[in-house]
Amino acid sequence: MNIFVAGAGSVGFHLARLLSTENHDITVIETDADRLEQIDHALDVSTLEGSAASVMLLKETGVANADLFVAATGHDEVNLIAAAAAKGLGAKQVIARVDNTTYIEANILYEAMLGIDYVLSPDALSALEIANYIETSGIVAAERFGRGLVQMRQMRVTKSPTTRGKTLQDVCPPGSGALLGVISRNGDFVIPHGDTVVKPGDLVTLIGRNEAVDALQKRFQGKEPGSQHVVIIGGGSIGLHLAQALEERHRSVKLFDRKMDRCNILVTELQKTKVVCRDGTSREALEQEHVADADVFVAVTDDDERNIMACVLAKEVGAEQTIAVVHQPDFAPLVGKLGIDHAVTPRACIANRILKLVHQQGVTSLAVLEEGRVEIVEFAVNLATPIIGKQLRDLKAKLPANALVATILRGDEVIVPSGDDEIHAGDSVVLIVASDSLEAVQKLFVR
Amino acid sequence: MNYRLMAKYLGHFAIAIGLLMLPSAAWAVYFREWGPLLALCLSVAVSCAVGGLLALFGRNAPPRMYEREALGLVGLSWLIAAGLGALPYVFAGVFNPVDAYFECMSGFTTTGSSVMMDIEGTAKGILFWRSFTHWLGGMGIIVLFIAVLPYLGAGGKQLFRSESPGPDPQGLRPRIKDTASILYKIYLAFTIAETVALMMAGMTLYDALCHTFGTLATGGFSTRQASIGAFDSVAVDTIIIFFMICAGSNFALYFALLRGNRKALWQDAEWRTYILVIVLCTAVVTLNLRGVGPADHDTAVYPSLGSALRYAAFQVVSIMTTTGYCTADFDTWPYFSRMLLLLLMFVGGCAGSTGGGIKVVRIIVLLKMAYWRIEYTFRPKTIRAVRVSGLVVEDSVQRTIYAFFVLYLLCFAGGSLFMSFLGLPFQTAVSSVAATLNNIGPGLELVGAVQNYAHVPAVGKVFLSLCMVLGRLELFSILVLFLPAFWRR
Repeated sequence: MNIFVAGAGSVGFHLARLLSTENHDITVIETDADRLEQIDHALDVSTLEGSAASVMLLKETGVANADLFVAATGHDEVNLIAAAAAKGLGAKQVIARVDNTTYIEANILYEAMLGIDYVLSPDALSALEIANYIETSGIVAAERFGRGLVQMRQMRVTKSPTTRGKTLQDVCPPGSGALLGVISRNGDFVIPHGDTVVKPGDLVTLIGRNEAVDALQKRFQGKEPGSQHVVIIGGGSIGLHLAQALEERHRSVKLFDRKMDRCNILVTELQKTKVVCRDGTSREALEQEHVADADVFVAVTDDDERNIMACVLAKEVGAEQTIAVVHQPDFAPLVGKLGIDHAVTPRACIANRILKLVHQQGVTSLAVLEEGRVEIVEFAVNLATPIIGKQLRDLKAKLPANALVATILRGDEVIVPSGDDEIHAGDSVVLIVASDSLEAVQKLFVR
Repeated sequence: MNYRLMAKYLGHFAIAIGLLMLPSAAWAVYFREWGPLLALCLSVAVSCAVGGLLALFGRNAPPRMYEREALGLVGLSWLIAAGLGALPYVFAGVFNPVDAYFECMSGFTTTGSSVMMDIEGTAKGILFWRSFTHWLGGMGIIVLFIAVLPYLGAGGKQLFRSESPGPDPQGLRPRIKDTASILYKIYLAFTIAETVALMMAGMTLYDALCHTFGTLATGGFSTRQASIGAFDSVAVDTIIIFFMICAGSNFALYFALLRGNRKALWQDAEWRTYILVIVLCTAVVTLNLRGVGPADHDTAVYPSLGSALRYAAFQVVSIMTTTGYCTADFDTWPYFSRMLLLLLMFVGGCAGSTGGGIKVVRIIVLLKMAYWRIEYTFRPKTIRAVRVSGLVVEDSVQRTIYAFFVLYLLCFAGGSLFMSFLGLPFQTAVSSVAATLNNIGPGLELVGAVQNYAHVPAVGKVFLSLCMVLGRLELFSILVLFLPAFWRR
């Protein structure tokens, strides 16, 4: 693939390194000559000095032939302009990295208006990863997609669920916002229908809107999912996103920040979170604010050392689980040695996300289950597809038996479909498909 | 220093050198030369054994390669390549080890200085290997290595830059492996074209191949004692002149031509200068050979303008591109022409070509720098940018070029001093160093066009071999090997 990376900061460098080991043709664009020289010596990529926001420069370097253009400079506006320009020049897929909350909140609108395929934020992605990690304790596997609005969760049905002997039609009727995608029983898998009965010990895969999946999990496992009480240190961009994500998932959150000004902003942005204006790295503060009772303690300040030490301190005080944000990736593997349960690196989060997009051009494979026998895939429905405007009921005859339309994403709306729903142009469709039928499904959706 | 990793790569490299001897063995079979065939096969076996041992030593090497390893690897590879490449000569009984090493280094570095006394009497299989070393060294043994081997990554880029001639080698494609393979494809296309052309001009396939190798690599080894002069054919002269000019041009320009930029050659300031120098010097030498200028000597003056032009053009292009083929004994030419040829030796080909010498682009930059410095003395506040083809040559590049030039002259001066210490006469001492450091081949007087290097003392041969590799790798990759600090942690 012919890939352009604009900006050789930590994100750009890391991304270029990961991609260059996979035999892609990579060109790195950067204004800082010293930084560029450093990359030139370290990686097998070609380098170009100049501003990525310059359309002339992009044109001359042949961005028109790019399969992927990633704008990852430190300036949001440069990234948005560069990505939009690259798209306009003919780059197949463009990604812009943004940090400013304003752009992140309305990323869908920016994507639509500027023709950018993905507007991604390292901070928001890190917050999402932490939120997922918190959520997944007790779950075999979890994955979020459709801009985080849809989630997939795999879990084992406990011995005495409230669903014993009931058919799927009763447990999760069409329109409930979640559905059961795959049942794995004794090493074999079925993609279930309305009259399938779930038995204790089954491994089930749920897909749907966040709150509906929560509700369904409660029915299958008989308890509230995930950890309850979360303490966050650091009210920066990651902290704010994390608190918002956890509020959505009905966790009780306590957020520490040292600066009064910032706390005042946080209070207005957040609905239920308790905002505490204190230094989260002082033992006294942690004890007084009952961090010992916290199920999870997360340190997300801009300072790696503070995050790591705060986590060690919280563990000492009695927090059950600790998570640290580590910006310097060399530190990340070391935190385990200090008794910290998990480390999240913003740079790695966005790089991994982009890598995933690179690996699955056209079809986005969201998750692979049952050792590769079942895949959850996302298709962008374009105008040329013959299935547009058809009701799913009619589509059933054309779809292979072991394929299931799990969700339809329309703008920021999530539809867990029943037979009456239609597929429109511009929708993203998430399907659960047995791997051997993937090709047949692909022919239906992508021309 | 990651010695194990270097051993591993050197091991692979040695095996590759061994396997590259096989085409020569095929020619030995074709000409039914069983003795030389045995020598070649034995050399393959020894090279592979040495390579195997080195690879075995480095099998668990940590994979990270830094600039230091890359730089050391390039220098050592060339020294080792010449050692292994000399084996066929030794086993076949053609040379003693010192002569064999000199001849092989002269081959790989595309110098073309020879110690071979009886070329026509030497086995054809061995002579093919002699010419083939030119072809391998021309575009670069390590560049070939990079094009073929998948695992070098960014380290490959360091290797490429250390081996490719010119002040600031740039990749043609984002990945260095692609760049290397494009260069070799262009090189191969030229090879096929010239071989066909020479066969049409009446050469056998064997002669055509050997002389193609010598031309495109700007080498200079011939299968005849009298070099290209032995064929005495205007067609052959013309074909070889044309391909020598091609080989002395920047190969990146051909890539641009292929990409559809028809003006690529002419837009390049270095190429324009290169052609201009060739045309001008040819004209001046032609006139000089026709007796224009002071008659200083009992010189051979050609009877017609046509023949003077023919021999002047061939010799000028051959020296300027650092090839070293001859169709005339220029030692009998007027002093002025000889002096001009000696100076042309230092100019050399373009950056990114297979030629040696200082390179045209460096000369351009040095002249411009010098000019601005003179202007600076009376207009110190004026800011100037040195440009080549419209692109600014950055300060750091300028400084490197300047340092290169000084070191180059130092090597030349020191070398000349050393050679005269060994008892060589003035012209011979100076021109032998100039001819080897610039990868030309023949010098003047005792090492002139119809002479050879066989009479140089053994110490002198070893020293001149060193000059050749210094010139081919443009000093730094070899000079660092002599710095103790380079080997320390």
